[in-house]
Amino acid sequence: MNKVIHVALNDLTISFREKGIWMNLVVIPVLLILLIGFVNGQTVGGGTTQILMDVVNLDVGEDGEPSALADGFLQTIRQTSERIVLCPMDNDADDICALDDATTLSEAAQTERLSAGTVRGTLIIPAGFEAAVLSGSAVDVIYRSDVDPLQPDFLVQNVQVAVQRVGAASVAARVGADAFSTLSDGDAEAFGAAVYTQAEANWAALAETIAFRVNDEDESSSDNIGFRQSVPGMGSMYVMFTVLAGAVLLLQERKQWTLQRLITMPVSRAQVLGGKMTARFAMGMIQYAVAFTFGAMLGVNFGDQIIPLLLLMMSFVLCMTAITFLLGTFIETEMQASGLVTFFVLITAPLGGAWWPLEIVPPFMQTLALLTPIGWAMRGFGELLFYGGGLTDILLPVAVLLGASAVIFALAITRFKYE
Amino acid sequence: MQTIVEARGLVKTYRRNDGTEVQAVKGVDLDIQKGEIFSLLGPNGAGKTTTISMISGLIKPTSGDALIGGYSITKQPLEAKRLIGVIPQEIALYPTLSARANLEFFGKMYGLFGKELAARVDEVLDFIDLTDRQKDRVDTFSGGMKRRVNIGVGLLHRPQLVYMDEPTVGIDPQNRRRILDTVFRLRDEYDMTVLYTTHLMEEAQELSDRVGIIDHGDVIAMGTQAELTKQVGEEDRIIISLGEEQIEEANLEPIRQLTNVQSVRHEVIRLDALPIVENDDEAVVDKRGTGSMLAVRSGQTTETIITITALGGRKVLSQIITALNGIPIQSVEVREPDLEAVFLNLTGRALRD
Repeated sequence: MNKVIHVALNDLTISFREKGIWMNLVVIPVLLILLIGFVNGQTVGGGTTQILMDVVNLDVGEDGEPSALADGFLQTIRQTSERIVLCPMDNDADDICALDDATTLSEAAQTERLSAGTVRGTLIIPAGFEAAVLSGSAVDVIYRSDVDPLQPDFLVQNVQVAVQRVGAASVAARVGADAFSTLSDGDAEAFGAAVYTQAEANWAALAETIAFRVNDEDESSSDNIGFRQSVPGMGSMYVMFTVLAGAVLLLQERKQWTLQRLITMPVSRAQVLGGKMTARFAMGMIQYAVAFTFGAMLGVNFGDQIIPLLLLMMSFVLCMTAITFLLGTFIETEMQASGLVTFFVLITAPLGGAWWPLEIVPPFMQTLALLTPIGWAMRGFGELLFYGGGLTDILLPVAVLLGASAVIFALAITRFKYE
Repeated sequence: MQTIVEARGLVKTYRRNDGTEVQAVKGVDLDIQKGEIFSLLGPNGAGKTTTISMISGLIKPTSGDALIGGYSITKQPLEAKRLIGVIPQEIALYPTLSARANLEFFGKMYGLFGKELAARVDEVLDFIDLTDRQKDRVDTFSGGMKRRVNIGVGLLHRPQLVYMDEPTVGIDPQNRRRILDTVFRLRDEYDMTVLYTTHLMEEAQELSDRVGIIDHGDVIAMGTQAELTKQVGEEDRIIISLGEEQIEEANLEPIRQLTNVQSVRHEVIRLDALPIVENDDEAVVDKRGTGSMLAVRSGQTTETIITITALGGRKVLSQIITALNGIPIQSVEVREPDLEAVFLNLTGRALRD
């Protein structure tokens, strides 16, 4: 173990003596965090991400129009948060709902969109909803989501609020109608409807019950949202550059014969390789530390999920370390290594959501993102930094990254040439 | 004497890209005695470095094994490697680190730490005469200084056995002399065994207690210099340089007819194809093996060499010159039986070929 650490420390010393290391490790990532952060802060607008929910409203009249109460229920949901976009009814010219010209949604389409992650939840308002609410009968409004039921979910809480309001207004209307029929000869039904409307209006006048908050920062600062994207995005991209540069160093070590010299010493190959991997891993974590420290200096609040955040970073850096050593098994020139690393990073970083939020790209691009390690990392960062997720929300990205690391490491170690 | 290296049947086969196999080393047997300087002499590509790489644990033999101080390099590599100090042909150092930092890092790899490490590093820096430059980065050093640090790394743990793989390649005569003296010091002052590979006959001749001659992956002869030269008899070699003058085979017939002349051959050497060490004409001479420096200085590009083996070379020299019948001669050298002659005798080729 001692020798592993000394090999790693030696590699780190050499890395930090390279010309331009501070430029690549600090200056350029910091500038890109600022630039991309400002761009994203403007583009995302309003400083947040819209949350899509599919709605199938089966409570329609003979004329095909939705019942007034169902319509009011959906309006109530909209009132709970301006971030919620109901699809297809709230679709806009930019096709925010990603419907590709469809105007209605079948239940099957809803399920598919939910599985693909296009929407965060789906809502089905059953036929007879209005009649049941007004008569005080039980009615099932179906809400579906992939979110762990044990975890707090912004969308379901807003739907619950809307249901609560509708239910409360319904009760108020029934109480009012009953009282009215006892005390006067007027139209009790019309009175009840009027009470319902008033009760609904009163609810709406109350302050927003559930706000879309991932942390306690001042939401008026749109820059923070942009930086919340650019810090993990540019940080991850530069982790790729920093760690993958190790492939060039391996090549240099082989060329200058220091790798071979180590093998002739009383050090096992596993110790040599372990030390070199540790050094690359440490460089990656240092790169993340630079990016997130700068983010904190900009006032970005990364929440209190430190352990999940670290776990996610470590999984991604480990995956990049594995790829570095796989590259080291077949590249033969520094030019080839530099070209391959640049190509790999510049293709996968934007594809994986390092430059902009994946929510703003078409669904097929979101699917392609999952073919890249950085896509999984950014998905995890999104859960932690945008949706207030915790450990359970990043288990899938972490598992995918660790699984990929194991496979790539196995391949790299069996193919690795020392001489 | 105690045997410190005992290699048996070392074979290394490589697979080419086209799927065919090539045997770089074809079953080498070696016995190296404790405290001796053993040279592995052979031309470039003969299999010297592959052999040394197998017995230093860098590459695994396709078959065969080597015992280093009784430890198998394939089965007990860590134990065997503790006894070895490898000094590769390449400058295997971290160029951006100082001489001291390089020595300290490699010292740790040999299991040295703390005060012991510091003391050994000081000792080695003193030995290689670089104490005053210890804090300078290696990439600011001259070629000779880098070579000395390269040697120093292999001596840090006071190994019983030192492998030196062509350590004088590409350096000036002064540093070369220093390295050859170092080899003697390692044996005489530090009681180390040295396995030295070279393609330079003069180095093998000067340094070695025993020599193994290797060609095309085979050790074709092994023994002391006296034992080896005995194989080629008493003939001297007469080497005649004609400069750029061309010669026909028929011009050599009169020489072949002379009494005591055993063989005559001629060749044209392309001087511009020879590796020339900067500011070191002598190194070119060594590679050509002619003793002539005129060719290089006059800028000529080819040189015709006639090599004659004859009993009592000096006595027949005047007859040979007469037999050349007025062909202009640039230089003449008479050599007594040496390792070059042994190699020529065994392979039909000169070492430089």
